[in-house]
Amino acid sequence: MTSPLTTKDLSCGKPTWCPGCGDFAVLNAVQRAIIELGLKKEEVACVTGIGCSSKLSEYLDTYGFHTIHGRSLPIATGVKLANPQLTVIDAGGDGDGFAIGCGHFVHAARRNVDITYILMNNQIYSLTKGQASPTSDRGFITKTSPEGVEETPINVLFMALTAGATFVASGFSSDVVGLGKIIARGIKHKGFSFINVISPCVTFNKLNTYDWYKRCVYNVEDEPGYDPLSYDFALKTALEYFERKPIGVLFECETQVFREVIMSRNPIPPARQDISDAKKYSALMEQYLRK
Amino acid sequence: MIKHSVNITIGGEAGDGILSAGEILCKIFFATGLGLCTYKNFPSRIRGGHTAYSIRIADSLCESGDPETDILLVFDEESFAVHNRELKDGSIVIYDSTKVKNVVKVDKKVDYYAVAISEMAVSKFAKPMYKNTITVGFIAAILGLNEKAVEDGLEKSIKSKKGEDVFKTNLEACRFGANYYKNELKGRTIAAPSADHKNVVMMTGNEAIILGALTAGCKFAAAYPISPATEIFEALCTLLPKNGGTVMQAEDEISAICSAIGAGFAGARSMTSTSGPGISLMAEALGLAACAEVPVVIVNVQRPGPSTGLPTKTEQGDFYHALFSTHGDIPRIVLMAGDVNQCFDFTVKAFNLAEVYQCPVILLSEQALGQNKFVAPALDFSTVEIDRGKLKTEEELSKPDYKFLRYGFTADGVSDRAIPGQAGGVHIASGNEHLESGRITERPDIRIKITDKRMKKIEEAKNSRHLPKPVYFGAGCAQTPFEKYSSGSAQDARPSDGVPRDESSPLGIICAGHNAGIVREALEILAAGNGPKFAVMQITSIMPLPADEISKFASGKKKVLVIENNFSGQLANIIKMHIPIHDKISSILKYDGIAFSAKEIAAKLSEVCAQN
Repeated sequence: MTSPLTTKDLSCGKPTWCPGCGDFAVLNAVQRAIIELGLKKEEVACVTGIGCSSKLSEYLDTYGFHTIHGRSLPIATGVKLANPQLTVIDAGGDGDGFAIGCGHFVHAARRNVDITYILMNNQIYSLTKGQASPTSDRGFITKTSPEGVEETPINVLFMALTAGATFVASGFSSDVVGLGKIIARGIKHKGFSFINVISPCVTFNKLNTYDWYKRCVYNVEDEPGYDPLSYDFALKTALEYFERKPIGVLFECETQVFREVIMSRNPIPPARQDISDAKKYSALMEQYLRK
Repeated sequence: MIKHSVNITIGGEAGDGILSAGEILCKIFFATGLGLCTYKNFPSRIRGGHTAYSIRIADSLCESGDPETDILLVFDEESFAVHNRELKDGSIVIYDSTKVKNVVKVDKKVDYYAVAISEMAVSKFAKPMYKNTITVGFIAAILGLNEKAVEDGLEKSIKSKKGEDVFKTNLEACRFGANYYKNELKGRTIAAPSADHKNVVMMTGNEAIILGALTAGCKFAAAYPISPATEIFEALCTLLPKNGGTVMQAEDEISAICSAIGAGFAGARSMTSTSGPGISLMAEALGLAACAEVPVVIVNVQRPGPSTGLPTKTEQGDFYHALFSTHGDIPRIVLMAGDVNQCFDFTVKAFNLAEVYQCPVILLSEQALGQNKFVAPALDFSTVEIDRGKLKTEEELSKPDYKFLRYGFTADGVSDRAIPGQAGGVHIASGNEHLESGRITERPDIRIKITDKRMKKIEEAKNSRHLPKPVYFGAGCAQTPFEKYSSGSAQDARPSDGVPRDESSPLGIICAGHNAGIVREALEILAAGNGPKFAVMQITSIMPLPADEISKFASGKKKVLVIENNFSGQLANIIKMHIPIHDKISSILKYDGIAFSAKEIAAKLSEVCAQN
């Protein structure tokens, strides 16, 4: 029996995030979740797109795939479908997931593919040094919005719920222990888990700071009438997101996972099938053949 | 070679059931042992607009359509007008007098028969759709087809799908049509070609690719519906889950290739199938697969571009795109299949090459090959081989003295590969520039070394046994144009490595894809008329390009004609990038969305020779 993993075992390289960046806590929380669930390194595949937050896969010592901007969700979906035995974690920023990758988000959620998607939401593009993102608040002055953002920000929780995500939660980088538990619950959930993590950028977002967020977050589980099985409750809670930000699991329901039926018929994952006996497929030619 | 062939065309409005009549006829002809190829002219819509299904039957296997029609059946006025110009002395036309009122006859010895087919179908069999089987009966009578073969063909087409009753009514309608033609119309007959091809298949290029993918062990496919490639993914949606694999209908082609890359990273042989617009969307991910060294197969059934272009027509216009799309320098392999057998073989090879060289492999086909049926030698499963390259087993990875480096520098540029789930192989794959471990780096020295390593793989692939070799035929070559069909076995259909034996002809032709089979027949037509002789080289691998072989082929030639279906002579230009034969090369081009015919190429070749 091997000894349980530590966060150090799951760490790799020296993160290039700015001191104080919320992303450190997300990395740590992911590691805590892996440890809590007793997963082995090789059973986890972490897929990320491009951006500061997408560097998470570089610093997590599991299987990883640091891919291209906005496309981590279809790639993670492919990994999971090819080998459902893997724990697939996708992490990325609000630009990656909700600007360039927004279309994929909706479809990954409605497919209910069994992966965990962690949005590291800082409401700004940081790797390109400070442009407005699709979650930036209206009026926010950035390099690309010198007169303030004019677009309505995307309500990611509401979008996740309406797109069909079967696990929707929100966390905050200032509570790494709590975040680790939410991520562990998301990983355990069978189906598409969406976790919106408030992960402040201390360098380029001087509006939505730790202090600013601390004033508007609250523990959703303390709310009167809290019921993670209630879609109505989750929708109502999500709709308030721009005024007050819930922390905790908003919604969780078990329903058929994408390709569950096919997987139940094929206990060996597609990626692990023995493909050496190619000649057996000659039988498929029969219907086209004149002997 | 083809001594006798008959071309049958059925024309009408989309939704008239032209397709089902054509499919039934194909099954009947195939059952009798004839050679056959089809040419479907379908608009990109479900109902309305002119539609035609042409079937050329021959005493030999054939790959070229015929621009002249022997038997024409038309259900609407537009079809009547469109196909009039294809008629020749001796043609027979039957038109639906219920619909076709404006009859302008051509000034040739053509027999026209007016039959109220639609009315007949309703009055005798209660449904207008029975006009298709009545039509089948007419054709059976014109060609004097064996009744048993007709019945078998109908049964195979209808019984399993629509049941016994529908089959019986169809059989009746067909017999009625045959008797009506013989007894009421007292119509003229045309001698059917006679052949008894054995160990042959009748399938489309797309169907051959489907079988190739399954045989190669493809276990994941993702795609977005697109003409003319949709059938490939449709079939895989049923077949892969039954064979240990899985599929995903993607929200767009970006998602399709990305999920295929994800599955490839996870260790499944994976693919996507698409056409021009989809390939355009896949450009960025192509670079990811190459940089992260993830195997993936991309099938591109080409259609005319740019933009939406002509979705249901044919072209060979994506050579540049296949070779150059994506930013930066990437290793990629581009194959081009020219017939049903190559569609099958090259698909298997594509999967092997993708895993052996850990890079994206693009397999080019084209609408005319992908969506038309051909009677071809049976697919050859005996030589199929699965080569997974440097994919390591868990046992190998866990050896005490072994250190796994995903992008380790090696002599051939190919590194050991591990897949998630394997202990001892934990690594990061990356589209960022990376160290041997896969971790991100910006070190200039590593950047050079790892770029060189990646690009080295294409040099290596040149000598791979999995890379299809050029096919030579015609003057001075080991293979005569029709030798590949001589015994009707797949053995002859596989690319011959025979290089030209002598330099008996100063004229050379270079072509790729579906044009190869059409050029074969064009050479036979020229030979029959004591026309000029040509040596032909069919290029099957666009990247790596067999530059040395092309150079050798061209060295004894005064002129090299590159025949291709696009505006700019893309293949010719690619050849010129590699070999300084600019003074010898000229192009024969076609970009009207319609495939060449052998007659057309023969005429153009004669013309070129007359000019010189």
